[in-house]
Formats: sequence, C-alpha cells, structure tokens
Amino acid sequence: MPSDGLNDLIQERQKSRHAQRKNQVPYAMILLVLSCVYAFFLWRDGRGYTAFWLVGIALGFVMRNSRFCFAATFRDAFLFKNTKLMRALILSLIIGTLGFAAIQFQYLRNHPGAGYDEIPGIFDSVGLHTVIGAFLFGVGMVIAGGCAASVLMRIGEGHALPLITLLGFFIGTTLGAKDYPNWYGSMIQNTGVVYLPEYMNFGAAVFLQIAVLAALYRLALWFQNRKPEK
Amino acid sequence: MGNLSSEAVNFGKDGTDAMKRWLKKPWPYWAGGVLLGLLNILLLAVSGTVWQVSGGYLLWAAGILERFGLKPFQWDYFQSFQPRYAEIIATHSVFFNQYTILNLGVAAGALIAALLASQFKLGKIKGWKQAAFALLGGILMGYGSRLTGGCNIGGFFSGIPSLSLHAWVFWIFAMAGAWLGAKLLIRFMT
Amino acid sequence: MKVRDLDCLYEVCPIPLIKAVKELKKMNSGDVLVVHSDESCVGVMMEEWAKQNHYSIQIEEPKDGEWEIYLQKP
Repeated sequence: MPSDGLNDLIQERQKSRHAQRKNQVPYAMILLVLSCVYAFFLWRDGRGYTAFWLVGIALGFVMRNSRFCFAATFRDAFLFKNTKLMRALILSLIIGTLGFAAIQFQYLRNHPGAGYDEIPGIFDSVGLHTVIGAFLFGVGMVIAGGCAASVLMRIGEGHALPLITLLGFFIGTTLGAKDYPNWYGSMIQNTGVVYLPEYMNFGAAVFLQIAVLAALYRLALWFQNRKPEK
Repeated sequence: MGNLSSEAVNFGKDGTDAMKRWLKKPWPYWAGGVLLGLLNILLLAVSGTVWQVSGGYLLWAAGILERFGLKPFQWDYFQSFQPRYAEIIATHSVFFNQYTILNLGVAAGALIAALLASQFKLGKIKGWKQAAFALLGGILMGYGSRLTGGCNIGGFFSGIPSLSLHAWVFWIFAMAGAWLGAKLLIRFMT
Repeated sequence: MKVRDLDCLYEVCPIPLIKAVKELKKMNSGDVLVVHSDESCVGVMMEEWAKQNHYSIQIEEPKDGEWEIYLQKP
C-alpha cells in the first residue's frame, strides 16, 4: 500500500498540470479516415496490397497498445528476472503454429511435393550462419533498444532515435547482402531448410512443437516465481 | 494498481473521460500476443505472405543505393533469393511493394494508437553516445538479418509457426546475443 | 521520507528501469524515487518490476506522452 506521504507528494506535484495536456484524438480520426482512403486506392490499384496495409495498421496498433516489445521478450529474463512478456510471446507462437499448420496442411494436401518457396510460411537454411546472424541480431536489438518492428512502432510514436537505428539497419543490411557470397561459399551452401513435417508425420510435428512451447511456458513461469538467492 | 488517481478527480463528468482512460490504458501483454498471432495468421491466409520487416528495409536501402548510381540488384544476394524479390525488381516497385506497404502500415498503426491515447510526442536524441549505440545496434541487426533470412519477425516470429527449424536456432542464439547486449548496456550506458 | 528525481527523458528501454533499480538500491525504506520518462513501455515494465519486488508504484501523465513514475521503497 502506498503511504499517505506518497499520495500527498503526487497530489502536490499534479496540481497545476492539467493545462499542459492536449486532446490528440481528432488527429487520430483524421489519420484513420486518410488510412481508409489510402486502403481504397490500394484496392482499386488491384495489386493485392490492401491486406498488407490494413493488417500492418492493425499490427502497429496492437503492438503500441499492448506495449509488446520483441527485444524485451529476449532480454528481460536476464535483466529483471521477468518472463511475463516472454510468456505472452510463447502464447502467440502457439496460436500462430496452430493457424499456420492448418493453412500449410490444406495447401500440401492440394499441392503435394510443393517447394519451400510455395508452401505458405517462411523458410530458411539452418546452420552456423543462423547461429552467427542471430547472435549479432540479439546484441544489436538490445543495445539499440528495439528490434526491426519496434523501430517502426517507435517512429510512429514520434521518437527520433529509431530513425538512427533505421539508418544503421539500412547500412547493415546492405553490407550483409553484399557479403552474402562469402558466407554462402564458406558455410551456407552445404546447408538446407529443415522443415519439421519432412522428418515426421505432419500432425506429430505440430504436436511436438506445441508441446515444446508449452514446456517453455512452464519453464518461464518457474524462472520468474523461484525464490531469489539472497 | 490505482495509478489513475488524479484522473479519478475529473472522472464522472461524462462518458468521454471513461473513453479517454480506456484508450490510454495499456492492454495486457497476453492480449497483445494473442492478437499479433491471430493477425499473422490472417495475413498469411489472405495474402499468402507472413509478417516480415527486414525484407522491406533491404529493398528501401538497395533502392536508395540505386538512386546513387550503384547496381545493388545485380548482387548475388538477389539472385539467391529470386522468388522473393524477382517480381518486385522487374516491375521497379522497390519503394512501393507488399513489404514496404506492410512496414508503413505498422508505423501508421502505432501513430494512430499514440494519437488516440493523446500520447504522441516528438522525441529527440540525448547525446552522441546514445546515437552511436543506436546506429551500431542497427548495423548489427541489419547484418545479422541477412544471414538468418530475416529479422526477429520474419526469421523468428513467423518462422516458428512455419515449422522451420532455423527459427528455433534463431531464438536460442538471439537470446545469447541479448544477454551480451544487456551486459554491454549496463556497462556503457548507465 | 526523502524524494529523489531521476531524469530519463529521451532514454530508450530498458535504461530507465536499470537506472531506477541502481538508484533505489542507494535509498532507504520509505523513500520515493520519481522517474521521468517519455517511453511508453516504461510504465508497464516498472509496474511489473514493482509487483515482483513489493514496491509501491503510481504512474502519472503530466504531459502528452510523458510520464512520472513514483516508486516507494518498502
């Protein structure tokens, strides 16, 4: 319970503050209307971008409102022994797995023998390059204070710093694409995509993945609730 | 709880205040997670493409280089990833394509959310050290994302539901990187 | 009850919370730390942290997109 002293302090400090607030809701309404107009133009354009625009807006809206930060899901267990956000991410991955699996299963039944470029989803070769790339990404994400997606979210909120991160991202991604042949020659060319359903029954792969995610959820919960060492 | 005490003084005037409070109140993390998962499924079901971010960044960056007279689209990288980029390059829609539209949508959605909560505020950069860390972090993320077939969205958040093993490897080693990043942050930034 | 202010305006996550934890270590029971931040995620993060560590917490929003987080040491 906060003591009276704390409440008095807050009361004292907040007395003359209300004049400094503005109502930004009208701007939000204008922007919403403009977004719908743009969606209409994209729809008339007929290249199928409307879905990307509208789902993008929804993703940004949800990320901002729930303060969902992917960098924090990787980081806060180490920094603050807090895994609440990581557990939300695991929940999200379980839901995603069920949905993607249904879409993939349907697709594979109609298109047996489809390649990785055709199966709905995203696939990449796995090997030492994944290890190195992910490690670099993990370091960068934490020291920049946000991942590739939260850079976009924070630009939307009006912050200036993520513009610098975005510039860095442009530089890094260009260098990475330029260097790609070296990495390809030294480690990527002998690796391939590992698509779990190719190594077991489709249902078993989905079940295994969800079982592992559920176990990680329990582990994360245990990690947060265990007694401090002190 | 009870972090809205000062607003409670004005509360009760009419419904708009309740509405404003509701718009300001952060949603729980789990709700965000559930909705992001569902939206990713929706995007895949409707468009056949999963949520990804860094592909759009690469196209923007390469498009800028092209303006400066370089020929990035002749690099081997774009030959290796033909199916993903060939059509975009062929139709000269490097700045205007599904990936960049998706990215702009995310920024626009966050802007709308911030305005609805009346919490939009222009920020500024605190100092050279902060800027240097942001730039370096961006470079590391950008470089890393080219090796792993995408950032933590395309390579991981969409990769795990795709049942691709690379996303699991990404998760483990991005955690390791985040651990080192956290140490660096404590050492140099506080 | 001593009151200390911690200016974390324009600081990125997670620096405000790291700084606050450091500062609170030096303070006594009943003292209040007021963290100033314009990072929207900081409030939720600190609420979570305060709950874990049994601190009292109150969040105010004196300006658009700017928060004061009051943390009282138990």
